[in-house]
Amino acid sequence: MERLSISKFWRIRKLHYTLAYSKCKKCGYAFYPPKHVCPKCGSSDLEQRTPPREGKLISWTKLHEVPFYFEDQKPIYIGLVNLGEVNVMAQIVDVLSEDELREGAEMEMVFRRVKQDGTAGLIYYGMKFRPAHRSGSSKQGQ
Amino acid sequence: MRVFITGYGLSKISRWFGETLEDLAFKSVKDIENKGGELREIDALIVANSFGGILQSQNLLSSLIAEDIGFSGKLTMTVENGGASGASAILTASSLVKSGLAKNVLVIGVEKMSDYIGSVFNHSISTFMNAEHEAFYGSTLASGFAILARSYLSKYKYSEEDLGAWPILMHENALDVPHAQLKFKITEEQVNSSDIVSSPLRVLHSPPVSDGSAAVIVSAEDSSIPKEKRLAEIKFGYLSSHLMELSLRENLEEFYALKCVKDALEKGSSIDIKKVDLIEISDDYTISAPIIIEGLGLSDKGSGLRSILDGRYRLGDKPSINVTGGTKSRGHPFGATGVYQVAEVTSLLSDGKVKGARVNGELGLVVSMGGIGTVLSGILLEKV
Amino acid sequence: MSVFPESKVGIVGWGSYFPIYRLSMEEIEKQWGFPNGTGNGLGMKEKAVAYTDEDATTMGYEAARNAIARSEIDPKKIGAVFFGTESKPYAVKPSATILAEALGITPDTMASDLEFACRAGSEGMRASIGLVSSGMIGYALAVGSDTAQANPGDILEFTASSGASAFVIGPSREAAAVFEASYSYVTDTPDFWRRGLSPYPLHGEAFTGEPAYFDHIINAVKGLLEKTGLRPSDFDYAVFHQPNGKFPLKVGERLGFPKDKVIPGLLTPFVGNTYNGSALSGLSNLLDIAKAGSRILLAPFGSGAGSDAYSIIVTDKAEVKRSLAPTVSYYLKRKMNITYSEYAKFRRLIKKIGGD
Repeated sequence: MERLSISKFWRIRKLHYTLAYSKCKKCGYAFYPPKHVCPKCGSSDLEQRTPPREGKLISWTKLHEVPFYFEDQKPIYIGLVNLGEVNVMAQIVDVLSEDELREGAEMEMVFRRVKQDGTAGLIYYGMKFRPAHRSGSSKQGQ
Repeated sequence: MRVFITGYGLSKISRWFGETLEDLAFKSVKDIENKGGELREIDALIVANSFGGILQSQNLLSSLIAEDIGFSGKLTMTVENGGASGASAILTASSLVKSGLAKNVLVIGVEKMSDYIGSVFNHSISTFMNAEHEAFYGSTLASGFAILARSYLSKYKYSEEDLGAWPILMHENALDVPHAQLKFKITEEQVNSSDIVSSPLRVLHSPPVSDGSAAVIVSAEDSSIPKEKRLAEIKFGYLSSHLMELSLRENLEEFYALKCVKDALEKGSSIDIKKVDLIEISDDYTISAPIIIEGLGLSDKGSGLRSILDGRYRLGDKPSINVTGGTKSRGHPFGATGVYQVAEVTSLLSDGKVKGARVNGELGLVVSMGGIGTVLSGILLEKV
Repeated sequence: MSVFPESKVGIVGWGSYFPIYRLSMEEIEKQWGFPNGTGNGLGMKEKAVAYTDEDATTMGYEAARNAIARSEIDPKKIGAVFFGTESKPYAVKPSATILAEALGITPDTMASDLEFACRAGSEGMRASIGLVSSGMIGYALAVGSDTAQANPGDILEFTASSGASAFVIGPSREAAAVFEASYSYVTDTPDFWRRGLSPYPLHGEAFTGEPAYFDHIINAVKGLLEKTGLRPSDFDYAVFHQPNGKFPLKVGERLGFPKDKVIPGLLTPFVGNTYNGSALSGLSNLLDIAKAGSRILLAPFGSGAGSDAYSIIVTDKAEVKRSLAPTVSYYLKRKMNITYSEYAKFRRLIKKIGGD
C-alpha cells in the first residue's frame, strides 16, 4: 500500500541492526523496545546496551495470514525470544523442523532482509533468529 | 447526573462491498428511529472508527458522516481506540453528558474491513501492535494472540482442540441474532480442520472480516427525551491502557489493563462481577475469552477454558456471556464493535429484540478490548 | 627472499557463512533434461542456496561478524570496508555502508563495493594490505559474498551458489596468518559478463577455460613465484578460484601442486561456486585447520579477467582464534536439501505479479 519510507527506517537503524535495548539506571529494569521513561519506575535516567547474540525461545507461532510485504516468505515463524535481560519479538528463520521450537530452545541472532519495496524501492534489513545448533563446533562469536 | 441509553440501532454485519461508511452509518441511525428512538434532540455526535484513515484514506470521519446524515453544526468528533473505540466513544459521550456539554449524544460505531485483499487486512490489524518493533517483522494481531494462546495452553495443560469449545458456543448463540454475520452451527471437527491462521489459531477461532455499524443515543437524566424512551442506565464506566508489546509483559496470560478496570469497577460501583446477569466480552481470537473470564474473577487463573469446556456461561447461567455470538459470530467491525456490544446488552435489558430467545437480566457488563489486551474497558448497564 | 610491504600485515580474523539450504545435482538434471551424472562430471555433489530473505549483504554480515569475533578488536578500529560482489542488492547504493553500520564500524571509515566478477573480494583484500601496511589505517575488512546467478537451464546453474567469506586485515604481530607477498595479473578478456539490466550472466563456454581461468591463474602464480623465488614445493596448500570441483585440481597439477595440497581448500563440491566467496572460503577453511608455520598459496580469479596470487603463512595465533567463531565445517554440516521448485522460489526465478 505505501512505499517504504527512508527516514522511518534510517532514524532507528541502530535498533534494527543491533536490537540495542534500554536499561534504567535507577531501578535496573531492562526493556526492549526502548522508551523515553522506564516502564517500571518512570525515571528517564536510562542507558543503552547491546543484547547477547543468543537467547532462549519463550513462545512462537507459525503465521500463514501474513501482511503485505511478507507474502514471498509465508508462512513465517514469529517468536518471543529472551535475550538475557530483555525479551524481543522477532521472525524465526532456518527452521528445519518444528521440534526445534520448544519453549527454552536456544536461538541465535541473524541479519536478514525484513521487507523490500518491489524491485526498485528500498530494502529494510533487520535482526531475526534461527535455532542455534551446538553441533560440537565452535561457539558463535560475539 | 445520571446517564441513560435512550435509543439503539443495529445494521447487519457482513462484507458489504456495495456500502460506504456513510451508507452503513445512515442504516444504523435510521434503525434507531425505526425502534422508536428520538433523533431530533441530538446535540453531539461521536463516531467510533479505527480504520477510516488507513483503509478509506478518510480522517475527520465524524464530520463527513455528520454532514451526510443530517447533523451539521453539532459537537462532533471521531474516537479511535482499536477494538475499544466503541466503548471509548460511549465513555466520552457519557462524560459530555455528565459535564453538561451535551444532553443527547449520538454515538455511531462504523467500520469497513473488507475493501482490500487479505494481506492488506493482515497489515491493517497489525497496526494495533508496535509498528517499528513488532509489526515490522511481519507480526499481526493474529500472531500476537497465537503466541498468547500457545503459552496459555501449554502453561495450563490444555490441548489445541480445547479452544474449539468457545467458537462452537458463539456460533450457537448467534443463530437467533438477526444482525449477526455468521449464523450457522459449527462442529468440533470443522473447527479443528479449518485452515491455520497462526498456529495454534485457526480460521474458526478467528473473527471474520466485518463491515458494520451500530448506534446508540446517550442522554442526560434531564434531557428533553421522555423518560419512557430510556432503555438502560450507564451505571459506571472505566477504561485502562497498559503495555502494548508482548516483549514487555511478565505474564502472557493476563491483561493488566483488565485488572485496573476490574478494580475501578468494584470500587466505583460496589458491584460483584460474579452476580452480573449478562456479560459481553471482546473474545478476539478465542483465547481472549478465557483470559478475560479469569481476569474478571469469574474463574481461577488457568481455569477459564476449563469452565467453558464444563458448559458454564451459556444462556441461563449467571453470568451468561456473549449471548449474541461475540466477535466470532456476531462479527468484529473493530471500531464499531464496542457500540454493537453496548447496543446488544441494552436491548437484552429492555426490548429483547436483538435475540430470538428471551433473556432475563437486571445488570449487564460490557468489556471491550483494544489491541492484544492493551486497552480494556468496562461499562456497567442497568435495566430501567 | 626480499621483504615485501605485505609482510607488515596479516589476517587477524577470518570467517565464512553458507546458507542452510542445499540443491542436489540430480534436481537440476531432472528439471532441465541434462543426462544423469552431469553434475558429478563437474566434480559437484550439491550447492548452497540462499533463502528469500538472504542476499550478498546479509551473508557478508555473518561472515564479517565471525571475522571480527576472531580478530578480537573493537569494530570501531576498522578504517575500511571493501565489499566484493557481483550480486549487489542495489546497483547503486553501497552494501559496504550497511555492513559497516550494522557491524558498528561507522562513521570513521572508508567503504565501497567492488566489482570484478569473482575476484572483487580479493582485490579488496589486496587494497586492504596496502592501506594497512602504509599505516593509513589500523585495520580493514575485506568481504567476498555472492548469491550467484545463472540463466536457468544453463550449465552454470549446476555450480552457481551462495556464500560469503570475510577477513580483517591488521598488523602481522596480531595475525593468525601473515602475508609474505602478493601479485595481480589482469587483462581485458571478456570470458563471462553481465550487462547492466540483465538478470543473468553470459559466458564463452570453452573460452572461459584456457584463455581466461588457466591463463590468468597460471600467470599470477608464476608472477608471485618469480617475485619471491618460492617454488610449489615450498607451499603446504594451494587454494584456487573454484568454479567447479575439477578446474582447481587441473590448474594445480599444471602448476606443480599435487591433489592433496589442493583438496583441503576445495569446497565447491559441497556448497557450489560462491563466486566472490569461492577461493576466499577455501582460504577460510584452511585457516580453520592448518598448523602454524604452514604456507598457503591463494589464487583467486575473476572473469573479465584477472587473478591474484598470495603467499600466506599461518601463525600459532590461528589455533587460538579458531574457536572464537563457527568454522567452515560447521556451516557445511548444517544443511537441509530442497527441491528445484523451492530453489526457484527462494531465488525468485518464478515470474509473478508483485514478486520482487
